[in-house]
Amino acid sequence: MQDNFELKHVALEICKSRNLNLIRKVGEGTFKETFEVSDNNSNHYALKIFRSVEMDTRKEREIKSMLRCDHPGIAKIQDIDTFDFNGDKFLFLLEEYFGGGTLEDRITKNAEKDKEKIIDLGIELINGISHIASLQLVHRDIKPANILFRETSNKPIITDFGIVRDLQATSETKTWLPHGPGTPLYSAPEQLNNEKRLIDWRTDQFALGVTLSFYGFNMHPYDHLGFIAEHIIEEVAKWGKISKKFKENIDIVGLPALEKMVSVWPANRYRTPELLLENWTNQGR
Amino acid sequence: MSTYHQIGHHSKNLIFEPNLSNFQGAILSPVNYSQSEIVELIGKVRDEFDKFDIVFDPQLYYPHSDREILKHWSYFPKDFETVDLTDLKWWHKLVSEISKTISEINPNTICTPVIHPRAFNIDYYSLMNNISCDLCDSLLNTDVRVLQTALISLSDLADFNQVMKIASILTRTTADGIYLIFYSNSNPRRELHDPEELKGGMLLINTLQNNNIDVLVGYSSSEIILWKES
Repeated sequence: MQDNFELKHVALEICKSRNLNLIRKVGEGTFKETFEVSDNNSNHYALKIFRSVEMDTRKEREIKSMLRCDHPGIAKIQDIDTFDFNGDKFLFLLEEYFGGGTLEDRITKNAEKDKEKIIDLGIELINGISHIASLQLVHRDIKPANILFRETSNKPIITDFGIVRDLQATSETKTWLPHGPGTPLYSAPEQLNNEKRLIDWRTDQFALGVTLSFYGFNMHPYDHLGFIAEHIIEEVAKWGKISKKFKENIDIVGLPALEKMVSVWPANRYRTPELLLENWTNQGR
Repeated sequence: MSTYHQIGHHSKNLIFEPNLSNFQGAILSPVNYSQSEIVELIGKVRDEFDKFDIVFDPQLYYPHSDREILKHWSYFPKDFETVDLTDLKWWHKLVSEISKTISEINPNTICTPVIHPRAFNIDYYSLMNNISCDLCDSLLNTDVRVLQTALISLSDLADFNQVMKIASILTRTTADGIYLIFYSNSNPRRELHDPEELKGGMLLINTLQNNNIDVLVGYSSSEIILWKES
């Protein structure tokens, strides 16, 4: 099958066979396309169709990890199956559809500086990554685009386990690679330097800290004056220093825990999810 | 950081010397005493003192060296010299044997077993961490406190980044504390003198303690003042 094959026809046939209505295509990645579909009771789902049915290790880990997660702050798989189309087999997933958009959509130029809102969002997301950590998993791609909302709620949902790391399984990342998988702007130094042995739940803590910094202050904690994204990534990769502006922002608003979350060394971040939650919540008191 | 006796050859009676009993506890070695001698000693300590922490270090650092009485202990593995020491299943079996011994000798605290590696690297430190987690799981329903043994090359600690990498691995421990042993090329009973290495040791202790991890440094000499100051 060709790589640029449109999966819309497959989506239509899957919908027909399952009595679903195809609404629109909502996303496209290297390995899969995502469609919004609905059933006759107006329940909306995300239909994710993979380009290949072959269950490679990463795909298997993504699906297995999501099936292991059972938390209101983490997207759940409703169904998983294969579908035959013109002699090819396609693997597909049905997940709840989140119509409230992403956190990225909610980060505006006038960043959200209301301390209570930042703390509330942080508590929900810390609970999500705590659950992921309790399963010995590291999401490795926590970022605003992977945090979704239901249409009628402000509770964030963590999604996209495409590069999840299972700490109890052999790593899929080769040591000779310059950096490990992740979105560089949100990645911790251990990811950017492919220091695989240093990766644990605190890697997600760092990315969550960067995410909350964008939400609260519309800035990366390592964004020194005049930096472009490439400079920020370099600063983090060399185990550098947080910016003065970021420090000023967290001092004004009163969010000291955020500075610890984005420490370059895992040993200087919060050691356990429980400690992170306690310290994060206490900032509001 | 409390101060302990490190009990060597023929020195167990020091525990009962009037002014020396103010130590927090003692670290016992199976190299110097048999299992029955240790059982007898722990019994005597319990009779004499209300609070005295008996720490047992299984001492598997140098499998190829003269191990004296150690090789007669029930947990000592017969295949030590031929086994693949990176095999977690083998370590799991050893941890089970140590747990059985612990239930027989009944110390307050046990240090996790580690070997002295040919090269100190992050893989080695990660392995030590996994062994420690295994022993913690194995003793979960007992009152025995577990200290994760961390055998660290002092020369590595002259590099700030290396200190922080090691600290990042060690802070994952599920044990009640860390038993730090600094390996150095210095001659026995000579003072450690490299300021960068000493500063690195202090930074490591400080970082672990900032993570609310109790630290006990083994085989200390006059540098104990620096470790306590950290």
